[in-house]
Amino acid sequence: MDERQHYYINGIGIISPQKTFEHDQFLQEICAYESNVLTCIIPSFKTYISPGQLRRLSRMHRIGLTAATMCLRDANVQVPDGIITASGYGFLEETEKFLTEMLERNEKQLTPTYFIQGTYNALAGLIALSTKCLGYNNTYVSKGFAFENALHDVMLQLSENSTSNFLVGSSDEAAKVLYAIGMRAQYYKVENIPNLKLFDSQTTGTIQGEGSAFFMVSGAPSATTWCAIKDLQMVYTPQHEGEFNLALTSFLEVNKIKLSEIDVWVSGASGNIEHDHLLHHLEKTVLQQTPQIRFKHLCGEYCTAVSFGLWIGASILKKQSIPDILKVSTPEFSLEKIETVLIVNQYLNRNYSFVLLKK
Amino acid sequence: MQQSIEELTAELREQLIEQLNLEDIIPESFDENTPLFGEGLGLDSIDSLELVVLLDRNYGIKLKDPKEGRAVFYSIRSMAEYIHNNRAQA
Repeated sequence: MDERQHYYINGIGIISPQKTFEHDQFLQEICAYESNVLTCIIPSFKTYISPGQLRRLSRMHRIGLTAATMCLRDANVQVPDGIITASGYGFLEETEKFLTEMLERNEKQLTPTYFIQGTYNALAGLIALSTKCLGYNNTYVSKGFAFENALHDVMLQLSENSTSNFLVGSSDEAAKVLYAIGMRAQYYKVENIPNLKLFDSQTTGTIQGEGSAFFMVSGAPSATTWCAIKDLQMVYTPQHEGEFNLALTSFLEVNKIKLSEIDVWVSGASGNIEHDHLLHHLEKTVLQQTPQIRFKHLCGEYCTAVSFGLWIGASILKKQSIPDILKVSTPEFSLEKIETVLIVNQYLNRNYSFVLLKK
Repeated sequence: MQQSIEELTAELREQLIEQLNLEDIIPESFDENTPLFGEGLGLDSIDSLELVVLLDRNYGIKLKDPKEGRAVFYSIRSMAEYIHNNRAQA
């Protein structure tokens, strides 16, 4: 009998470059982009945020607060017991405005709003104010591991009090300044590539994305449960294929999961032939017999893109279906019942993570 | 030539709406005497900081005594009167 604690996702709210904010649809309508930058498809904010609050919020704060509100509604929770957010780069456009103002005005007569909006933990604070949540409030900013660290924190919190409801989420924007720096660092593709052709590409670099995803996580299931998170592990800069494969097989062994029990694995391949090599090696070795899906052609690459992958995994388990747009041709998908999903993500070939989901 | 209180009132109204992003929440009954805080326009403490900066940037007036703020920022009219009187003394 498996005695390890499970962490239940009891609600989700997600805004991304796809129309993901309506849960009755699971990638039925796909948004194609011709440029290398994917930005969010946004719902009507006024349905979720009062006009008084809206007026001071930047685009990304509106997206984050709306995603969090959607998640609370989906989980039928009004006030969470704690709020944990993750962001690789925070709110860069607001930070840029604040810094520009500092320069232009010689560090005098600065307005407070840009400063408030530019801080990493602004979103967690906003959600707390909006929900009147006085509980635990934390923000992780550890770049490619930001969301994984937030999720890890939730798991630790719930191991102490399993009945709590924690709102955990991510937010990262496709900021212009980040794209400019990313191009110099060769993070993005030099050539223009339509997002739906990303995995046909045989070049380095990827496409820029953004999004915000929130999950209500509790130690107990509810009527609105999507799936359970069984375990999470981070692997930093594995040196070679053997080390990475061993890390994965050890992770599965600790969780008493056989390879044959994994119904589908969600690959965090980014379309960068250099950065994806460990994932390509996995699909030819350890996970050769396991159907694979990919998602970064739909949301682009960003520090917390794994949260989009978590939504994909949770949706597959809840809806028991896999949209064709996610499928990689081999091996064939002949699944009658989907009970176990493994997410294997990579960010810049540095930050690797495994997330094991159960129905 | 010094602006009249009426001219300042009209100018402040435009500045407030732009600086505080009030386009969508201005009530129809909003006029120069509507209280800016509380049950009037419902501005908050961050807005009061924005107003302090607005006075400094646009009119060169530094509000040094925080206690003064309550009366100065009561309404657009009170702000206009304060600007008119303090700029006249400068």
